[in-house]
Amino acid sequence: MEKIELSDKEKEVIKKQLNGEITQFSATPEERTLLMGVISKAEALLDELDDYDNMGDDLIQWFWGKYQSQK
Amino acid sequence: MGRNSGGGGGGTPNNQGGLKPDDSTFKGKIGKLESLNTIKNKYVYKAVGEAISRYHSVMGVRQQNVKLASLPNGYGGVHVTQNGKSSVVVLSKSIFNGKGTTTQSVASWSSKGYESGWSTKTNKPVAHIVTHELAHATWNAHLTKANAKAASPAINKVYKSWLKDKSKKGYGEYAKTNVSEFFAETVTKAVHGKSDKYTKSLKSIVKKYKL
Repeated sequence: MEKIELSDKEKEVIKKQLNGEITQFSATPEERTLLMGVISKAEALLDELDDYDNMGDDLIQWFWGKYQSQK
Repeated sequence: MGRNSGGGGGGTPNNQGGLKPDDSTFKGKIGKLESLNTIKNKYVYKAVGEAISRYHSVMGVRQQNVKLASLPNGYGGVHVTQNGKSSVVVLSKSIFNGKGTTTQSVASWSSKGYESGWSTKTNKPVAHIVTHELAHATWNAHLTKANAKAASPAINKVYKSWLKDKSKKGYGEYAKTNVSEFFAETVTKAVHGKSDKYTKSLKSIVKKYKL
């Protein structure tokens, strides 16, 4: 597994998503673009690790946990 | 005042339109709750009513508590879960009943995430907001009622199968973020889009667990 790299803006949008500050209809265009990039990275890692059994019920939470654990 | 009475006023200390703030999943400010029949544009009122009726007929679930209120800027609608129970679906007053609101203006607002692939595409953008929030009322991961909790493993299993499936079509990216958004958008697709094995699975779970 390669090191997960996240920009400051990506980290910010992940925190907002996990705090319930982003919703389907409230996200700004910039937030949508950033979060779609994060989703893409998360999906790629989930497939690489084949960690579906351990991911829980939240892809972003799982991905953020993986990022935090490498620090 | 009961939290579902809808009579609370904006500007109350809890800023929740009369809703109790305890354990509410929506932390933003909700203004005074108003009846849907205050919607001035008759076509918008009709479209909202039809969305609710279609949800009832396709999903077999009745969610009566749908209100209008002012919401933070950018919010079209929210579902509020309080103390583990579905409390109310609130549609934005400015989007659904603002000055000069038309079905076109609501549709334009709702469909802004279609082009980028953010939202699941439907041919009913006005109904999309209503249906998405009604689906959250039917089930979301914060509900603690016995039937909702019993259904969670089955819904989570479908979510993971769906995430793994790279050939699925017609879904928006936001549905991937967590199981609650997956449920809301897949149910929206069941009601207003092309059915597939995932929409059928969720409809079957809703029926089996009497959600």
